[in-house]
This record gives sequence, C-alpha cells and structure tokens, in this order.
Amino acid sequence: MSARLHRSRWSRGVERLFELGIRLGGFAAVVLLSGIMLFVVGEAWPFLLGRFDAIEFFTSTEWFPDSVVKVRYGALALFVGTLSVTALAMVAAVPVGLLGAIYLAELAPPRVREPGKIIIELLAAIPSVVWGFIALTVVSPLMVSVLDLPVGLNVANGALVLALMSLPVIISLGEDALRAVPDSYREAAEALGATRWETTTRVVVPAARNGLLAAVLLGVSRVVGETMAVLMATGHSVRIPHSIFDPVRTLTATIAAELGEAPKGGEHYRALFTIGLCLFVITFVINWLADRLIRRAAHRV
Amino acid sequence: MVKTAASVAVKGLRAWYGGVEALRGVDLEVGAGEIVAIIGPAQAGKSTLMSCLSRLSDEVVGLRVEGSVAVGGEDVFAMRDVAALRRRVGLVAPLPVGLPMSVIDNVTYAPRMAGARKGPELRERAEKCLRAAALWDEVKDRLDQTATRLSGGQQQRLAIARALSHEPEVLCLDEFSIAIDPVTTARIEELLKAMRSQVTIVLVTNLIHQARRLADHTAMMWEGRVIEVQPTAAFFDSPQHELTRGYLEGRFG
Amino acid sequence: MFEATEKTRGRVGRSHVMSLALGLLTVLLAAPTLIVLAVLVYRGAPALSLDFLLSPPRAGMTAGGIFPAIVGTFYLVGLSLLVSVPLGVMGAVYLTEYARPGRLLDFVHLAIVNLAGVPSIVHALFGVGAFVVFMRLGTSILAASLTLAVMNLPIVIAATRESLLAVPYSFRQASWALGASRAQTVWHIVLPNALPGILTGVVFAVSRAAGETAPILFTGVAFYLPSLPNNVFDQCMALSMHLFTITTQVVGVPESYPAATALVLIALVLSANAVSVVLRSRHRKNRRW
Repeated sequence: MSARLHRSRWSRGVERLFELGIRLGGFAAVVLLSGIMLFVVGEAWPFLLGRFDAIEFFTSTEWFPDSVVKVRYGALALFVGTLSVTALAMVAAVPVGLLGAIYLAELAPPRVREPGKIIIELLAAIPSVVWGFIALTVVSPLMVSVLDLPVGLNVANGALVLALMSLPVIISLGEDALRAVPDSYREAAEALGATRWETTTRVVVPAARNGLLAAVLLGVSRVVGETMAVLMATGHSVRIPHSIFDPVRTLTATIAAELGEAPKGGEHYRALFTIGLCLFVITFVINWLADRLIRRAAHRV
Repeated sequence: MVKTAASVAVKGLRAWYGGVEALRGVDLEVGAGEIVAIIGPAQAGKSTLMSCLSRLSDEVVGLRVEGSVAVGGEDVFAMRDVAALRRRVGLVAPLPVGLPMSVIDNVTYAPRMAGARKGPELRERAEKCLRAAALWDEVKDRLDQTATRLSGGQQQRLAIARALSHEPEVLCLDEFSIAIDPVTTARIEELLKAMRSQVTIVLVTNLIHQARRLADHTAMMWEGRVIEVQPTAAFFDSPQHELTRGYLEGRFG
Repeated sequence: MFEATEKTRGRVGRSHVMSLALGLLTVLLAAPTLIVLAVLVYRGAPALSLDFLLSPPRAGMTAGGIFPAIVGTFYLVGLSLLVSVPLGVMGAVYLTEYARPGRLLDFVHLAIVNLAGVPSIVHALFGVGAFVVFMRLGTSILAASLTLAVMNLPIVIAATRESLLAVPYSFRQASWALGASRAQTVWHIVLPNALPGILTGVVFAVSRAAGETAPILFTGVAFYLPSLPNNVFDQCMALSMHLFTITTQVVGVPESYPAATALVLIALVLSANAVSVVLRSRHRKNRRW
C-alpha cells in the first residue's frame, strides 16, 4: 500500500454527474415552485388590468360570470362564504383541538396516548372527497330529519366536516408545541407543589403559547384552502348567509365548480385565477405568520 | 502505515468569521517528524488554525482566510485537490465521532473514498491502524458492529486509527483527550510518542502537562497570534512572554 | 403541620377531574372517525367484491366496477412520484448540502414552507395554466401527474431537508477531514442515514396524490372512460374523482357504490400511511447515533 491511491476517472465522472444532477434538481424545484406564483399572477393579470373593478369584486355579491345580459364579478358572497364556514369550523375545532392536544401531550397515560395518535392519523388520512361524500350522504339527511330543514347542505354541514378535517392538524401541531417545552419547566412547577393540572395550565401552556397559536393558524389555513369537501357540503348558493343553516359557496368551491366551464383564456377564466390569487395570498400570509411563530418559539426554548 | 513526515510552515495566517478576526497573523514552523503542542486560552484561535492546515476551513460558512500554510513545502491554499491534501493532513476532532457504519468500515473509509477496493489488503491495513491506535484487542471480535455503539474512549481511538488509515504526513489532534478518561489518554500519549519522527504531530491541548510530556516544541497562542514558541523544556522553565508566564502560573485562562 | 388541607385536596381533586374530562373529550373525538369508517363499511360492504374491483363501470356508471379508476389512480400516483421524488430529494440535497446560506436561501426556504400549505385548488389552477394550456399537454395523465407532482414537491423537499438536517454535522466534518468530497459525503454518510425520514415524506406524498381530487379535476381525469389509457397523453379515471362523480353527478347509482369506492380509496391511502408508521418506528429502533 505504498503507492498513493488515485480515484479512477470513472468515479470522478460519476461524481460530477451526481453533483450536476443535484444542482439541476435544486434549480428545477425552485423554478417550478416560483412558477406557481408566476402563473397564477400571470393568468390573473389581464383581468386585473382590464375588467377587474376592486369595488365590485370586494363589495358586490353579484357573481354572474357567464350571464348574457350583465356580467358581474362581485366576489363578496364568496369571501363571506369562506369566512362563515371557516369561522364556524374554528369555533368547534379550536377548543376541542387544543384541549385534545393538551390532554394527549400532558395528561394522557401512554396507553391512551398511543391509540389516540393513531386515531388522529386515521382522521388525517381520510381524503377530502370522502368527507364530502359523508357530508352529502350522512350529515345532510341527518340535518334534514333531525333539525327539520329543507336542505342539509349548508354552512353548518360544511363547518362540521371542516372542523373534523382541521382537528388532526391542530392536535398534532399543538402536541408538538407542548412537547417542545422543556421538562425542567414541569419539574420546577411540580417541585413547588403544583398539581399536574396547575402545571399544565399555568406553566406549560403559557410557555407553548406561540406554537399553539401557530397550530391554530395552520388549522385555519387548511380550512380556507379545502375544496372538495366544501364543494359537496355547503350547497351552491352565491349569497350572504343569514343563519348557519343557509347554503353558501366558498372561494375554493367556486373555482372547482366553474373552471371546467370557463373558456380557457377568457375573462371568466381569468376571474377564477384572480380568486385563486386571493386564496394564495390569504393562505400565504397565514402560513408565514405560523412559520414565524414556530421559529420564535424554537428560539426561545 | 505512516509514510514520511512533512514539515508545516504557517506564515501571516489571518482568518475572519464575518467581521470577527479569529487569527491575526499566525507564524509557526513545525519540522518534519516533530511533535508541537499549542496551548492557550479558549478563543485564542487554536481550532481555527488547525482547520486551516487541511483546508477544512473551506467548509466553514462565513470564514475567510488570508496568508499561507505550507505542508512539505507546498502551499495548501494553491492546491487544486483538497481531498488529497486532507489525506496528507489528518485531523482528530475534540469530541469522538464514530461514523454511523461498522468499525471496519470506519477505518477503511478514507482509502475507499480515495478509490481503494474492499478486500484482504484493505482489511490488513485497517488492522494495522487499529493496532497502532491501541484499539485492536478491544474491537477485533466486533469489527462489523456499528461504531457509534463503542464507548467514548474507544470512539476517540477509532478516530485516531481512521486518521492514520490514509497514511498522513501530518496528524493534527485538537484536544483529543477532553472526552476520555486519564488511563485512555495515557495510552494514546504512548502511541503518539511511538509515532514520533514517522509523522509530524500538531497537538492542541489544554493540559499543560500533556504538552510537557509529549512535545518537542510548545507554542503559546493568544488572541489570534502565536506569541511564543520554544523547545518544550525551555518553554516551561523560562517562558519569555509575560502572558505565557501568567498562563502557566494559572493566573488566568 | 403538613396535613393535606381542604384546599390542597380540592386542588388535587380538580387536577384529576380535569384530566378525566379532557380524556373523555378526546375519546369523543375518536367517535366521528370510527362512525365515518363504520358507516362506510356498513354501506359499502355489500358492493365490495372482486368483480367490483376488476371490472369497468357499466350502464352510465350505475353498475359494474371501478377497475379503470384504480388503474388511473396508480398511474397518476406513480407518474407524479417519478417527478416529485427525484426533484424533491435532489432539490433538498442541493439546498441543505450545497447552497451557501444567505438571504436567497432563506427566501427559498420560506417559499417552500409556504407552498406546502397552498390550497390544492390553486395547484389545480397552476396545472391548467402551465401544463394543460401553456405547455399544450392538454388534459392528460401527464398534465394531471405533473400537477400532483408540483403539489407534492414542497412536501418532499421539506421532509427530506428535515431528515438531512437530523444527520449530525460532525459526521460531515469527520468525512471531509478524511478526504471525502462533498458528493461522497452526501452519498455515503448523509443520504443513507436520512433515508427513513425521506421515505416517510415520500409515503405522505403517495397518500396525498392518491386522495386529492381538486388538482386532477381539470388537468387530466375524465368522468368516465370505458377503456384503459394507452399512453400518458390520454386521460384516465381516478378513484377520488370517480367517488365525486358518482356522488354528485350521476343519478341512479346504488347506495353501496360510492361507499365501496370510498372504502377502496381509504384503504389505499391508509396502507400508504401504515407503511410510513412502520418505517418511522423501525427508524427509531435502528437509529445509529
């Protein structure tokens, strides 16, 4: 073994290729991802410059994109639809999700925790279209018969399904946030004679505040962006709901319902991209806030 | 397993981490086959200096280096094949790191990465290195076990065996004994003494007595400079620099 | 002197009561999941048969089976993975092991984190605009798969990046010090140890690609196709889309059909998730540091 070893040209060539591949892959990934932004903005752009009227778009409830006599692009009812379904879903999911996270992370004995987490994963794995199916064929008839409503497809139905869909997000991220609180905090509190419950509510939860808030935000973002389930659960009515048993249509459902009919490159098509752009911006802001909260929490702990 | 020792010459070496100057012009000459100990307080730039010798400094984000380092008379910053340089200049890090693979794979990693094929020859070489690091008897029956399961002292000797596996001309040891017990430390010190003259050894240490026991020359680093180098006996008996005197007397650091 | 006072006993009691209450609440949480699954099984079981799985729909989708939809889902998932996994893994390796940290890299990471949360319907818009119209792929398996791939790309990147970062930096340093190049270090040290985490991300991508409907709605999936697709420029059917179609668009479908379709879809997604659970637990056991 006296002679110095030299790697063969072949192995160096393979290495060059490997590195080239990695660079290209990285580049392609970044290009594709920035492409999403670019395309959504680009396809919405002619509409934004042309027919788009901010006052009409944000304050009118008249959404008649393919009307022959008077075309209107008032998206207020769609925003309100998304808002109402999201708000109602969160009213149910936030307390239940956070309490569930607290229970699983802090109070539950291991023999409850493990099956609990499996159930949460199960819940998360059910595809959105299956939830829509459940809303349509189980929840809706139930609402009609129990609450004596004319139709079972409404804000409440959509919110119920969305709440169930956002629970796994809130619980698993909330649990992560609680677990990130160092054990020394709990030990210190318990050494001072605090009970488990007091330790949890007065020490651990306040310490995990940012992470819990981020979990809620990501739950909201999931709900705002959900499409198939709300498309199937909330009915199709572009109007401002007066009660939780009124049908509505959300931003996402509008795109899903109309994109197929809108002629490619036409005004309606571009109006739908504008709605997509709004969704993009809304979820981007929420996710960005959540990311900042998580990072800040990570820094502190 | 050691070929020929090479001299090391550092001239006017400066280094910055962002805006912080870690090395402010280091000059240090190490003769081929010598053992040189570098002592000095934390933040003196000892580890930064070590990382420059095999250009591991290239991998540190935000580190900028100026000046020259020559190994065997060749300027390392002018070398195109960094991998070859790193096989000439071995480094053992302060904390023991067993790579997450079997013991034997650890010791043959460097030759394999340099193009050697697995086989009896490579295994023989691995055995030599493990013997040289006084680890063979402890691991000969579990060469195929994961290295990360070894004890800290064993992993540190594995790191030394690994550093020897590529037949270095210079061996840099950065506080190799901080994570291991005194008995193991003593064994490794014996090994280093035995290797004297076959390989040049640059030893960063916080143990003043370790420097005294091993080194031909001892250097004192202070705030990014080498402020004093002397033959070890003279260094400890009559330190010239005020700061060296203070450091050895334990007035600070 | 240190006897338990009334107050202390009350506090301890409250702690137990609250634990119990929250426990009950969590058990209640499990109820809807189990009810949903029970309803699906109860309703769908009568229709489930080998014939249902292996024959095409007949009589305007009111009879027959779901074979083309199963095949289509496999096509879509497979083809989308072929794009998203190599690109995602290479992208993550580039971003974590090669790219120099700085503002640009921070921005890219921010973009990836956020794009992972972009609604799937926005991906559908992108798919229509970019693949169907701009690249002139038309509504085809290729366009739909690419849309799913782009949707999953940030997820694969994020999962890969996380598992790459979990490999201790000291391993890399030791490898470089031994004269291994960056590529060798990535190949021999980093990737093998990050593999289980990467696979978990891939499995998640599988389950998402199989379950999502919105991104494929307008990019390449047809309501009904009597024959199997011949190439990637054909359209295909898909399970998720088929469930949507027979639930909302077709009259006269037997009650058991959509439920059975949903069961098959869930079984597919859950088996992917089960693989990921197994991988994760094995990873934890075999962790080598």
